Parts: sequence; structure tokens; C-alpha cells
Amino acid sequence: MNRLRTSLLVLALSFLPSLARAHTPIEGVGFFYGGMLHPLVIPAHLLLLVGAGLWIGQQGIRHIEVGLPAFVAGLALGLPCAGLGYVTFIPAPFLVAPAALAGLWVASAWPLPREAIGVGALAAGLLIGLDSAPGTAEGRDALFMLIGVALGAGFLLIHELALVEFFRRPWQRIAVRVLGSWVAAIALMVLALSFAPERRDSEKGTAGGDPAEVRPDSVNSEP
Amino acid sequence: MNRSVSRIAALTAGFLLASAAPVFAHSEGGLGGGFISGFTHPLLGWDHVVAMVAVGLWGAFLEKPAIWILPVVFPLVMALGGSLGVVGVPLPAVEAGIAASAIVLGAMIAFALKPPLPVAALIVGAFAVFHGHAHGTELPEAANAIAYCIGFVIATGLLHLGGIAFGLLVRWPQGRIAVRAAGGVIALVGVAYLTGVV
Repeated sequence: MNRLRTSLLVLALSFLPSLARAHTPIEGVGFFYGGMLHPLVIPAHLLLLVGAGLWIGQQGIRHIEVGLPAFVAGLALGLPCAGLGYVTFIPAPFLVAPAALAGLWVASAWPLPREAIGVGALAAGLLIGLDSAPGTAEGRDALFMLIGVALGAGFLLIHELALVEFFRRPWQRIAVRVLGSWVAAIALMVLALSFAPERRDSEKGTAGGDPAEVRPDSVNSEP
Repeated sequence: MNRSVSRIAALTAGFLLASAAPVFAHSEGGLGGGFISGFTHPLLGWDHVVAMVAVGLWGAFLEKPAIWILPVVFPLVMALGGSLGVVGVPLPAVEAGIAASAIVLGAMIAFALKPPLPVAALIVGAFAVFHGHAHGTELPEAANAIAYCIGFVIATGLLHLGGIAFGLLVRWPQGRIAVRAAGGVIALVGVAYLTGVV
């Protein structure tokens, strides 16, 4: 009966209209919510987050104990730098290359020392933080947005780590490796695009441009 | 342990459900459009579809460890081919290679051939280059590239999973016949594409 109720609840939730959430009139909540969504709507961030989560989680709980705090520390270092304008953005290849490495490592399932996990997680958090400049937001709005980014990225990573760590059955472990190969494959393609001949990007209206650097300004702007 | 996994899965689902889907529909038609464009690219060509399903089928047919090695290796080699296509390195007879992949993989399944794992991986890898190259060169200029890549890699992986799921029927005698028959159909589709019938 509990399972049935849970299933029905999940089904009901899936029909919840979410349109209104993107148009909240409450001052500041728009930037905060936009910040929380930021890791999800920037494909390079999402790729790095997923890759890092698989990479850390696959190694086990003792590595997660090092990796998660290191990631948070990286965010704590990177976000203020982005907020203060020291760094405006990170070119996509610098975000995608670590994702490719993480994906390849997950696909191979080779063990790693905890120190390596710590360094890698710190780098991932730092890169995401540095690449999360508030854009048009200023002052309190920018702060809300940065806090949102931290919470969104952290929340996503925690869930990912928990799921991956709990995947104990052989087929679940294999699924993680398959996901790692997907992350690596996507990242390798995007890296190749960085070396591709100039292509006209219709979103920017100019030739060339970073294939992953399309920022949804409306996520960060007031509704 | 199962309860904990269920709770975590439910929390994750809740977090994802609470995420506003309209972000794709508002400012970034490119993101959603790029993903859909990439996701549907392997699905809109039957030559791609049958070959991807055949990889999963053959992996299930070969059993462990091929059943998971092939779906792990294939996307990576496909990405290599895709990278070649993106940077403009020409590859001769791509369409013929894609059709041939369906023929060869389908025949392997139909005739219940089980070569050594390195040979199987080599065959699959060689064909993966052709498929990836096609996806890379056909990357539409209007699409958000990374979203496109995410889309077609996921679609390809799901086709593999479909093939594996169907291939698990080999555990039963009738299932084995069904899988081998499917391999025959896949090979015939490949012949149809190669000869220009389709």
C-alpha cells in the first residue's frame, strides 16, 4: 500500500505545472532560483557535475568523505571570485576536458587514492564556481544567485553521490560505467567542436563561438 | 538498504520534478532544440536504429563480459568518429559503412557467431566510427552543439539498452530463436540500405 501511495504521489507530482515557477514576482527569489537552476541549464556545468559525481561516488564512501567537502570548498573559493568580477567566465574546453577525464575513469572503474579524489573534486567545484558569474545581477541579487548556485550544485552532487554509492549490485555498477562512457563521449565531441572550422552560431548571429557558451540570461534576470 | 535507496531515489525524483522545465522553453530554444535534434538523429534513420539495437543484441548474445563492454566502448569510439566528422576529417563511404554495420552485426546474431571478445570489440568499434562520423558531420548549425551531443549519445545508449533487453531472451530456447531472427531482419535492413532499396 505504501509503495502504491508513493507511486501515485510521484505520478501526481509529475503533472504539476512548473511554468509559474519561472515567473515568480518575489524580489530576489528569481535570482536565487535562477542560481539553483544554473548548474542544470549550463550544459558544460551539468556535464562536469555528472562526471564528477560518478567519478567520486564510484570510488566508495571513504572517497566521498573527501570528495564532497573538497567540492564544496572549490565552490566556496570560486563563487566569490566570480561574484567580485575577478573571473567572468571559463572557456568551455576547461570545463569539458575534466568531465571527459572523469567519464573515462568511471568507464574504466580503476581505483584512485583519496588524495586524487580530493584534488579533482576541488578543481571541479572551483571551475563551476568561477564560471558562475552573476551576469546582470548586482548586489543582493548577485549574492542570492551565487548562494543558489552553491545550493543547486551541492544538492545535485549529494544526490548523485548517494545514488552511485548505493548501487551495489553488479548490473548497477555496470550502469555507472556506461554513464561514465556517455559523459566522456559527449565531452570528447564538445572538445572536438572547439577545434572545428568556424560554424555560424544562429543564437549569437556570428561565426564561430564556443559551442557550450550559451548563457540563458533570463535565468539570472528579473522576471 | 533497499529502503534507503528508495528514499534517495524519491528525493532525487522530487528535486528533479521541482526543477522548472520551462527554462528550456523560455530563453534557450537552442538548448531544448539542440537536445531534441540530437536525440532524434539516431532515431530518424533506420540504418542507425537497427545497427545500435544490434550492438546491444550482440552483446547480450555474447553474454558476459561483452554485454557491458560493448555499450561502454561503443559511445567512446563513436565520439571519436564524431570528432573526426566535426573537425572535417573525411571518411569514405560513411553511409555504406553504416549499412554494412547492420549487415555484419545482424549476420553475427543470425548465425550465432561468437568470436573472441577483442575481435567483437574491434568489429563494433570499427562500425562505431562510421556512425559517429555521420552524427558529427550532420550536426545542424542551428543547434546548441553540446545539447545535440548529449541528445544523440543518450539516444544511442538507449537503443543499446533496448537491444540488450531484447537480447536477454536468449536465456530461453524460443527467445534464442527470436533473437537470431531479429538479427536476420537487421541484416536484411542493412542490405536494403546498401542496395538502395530503402
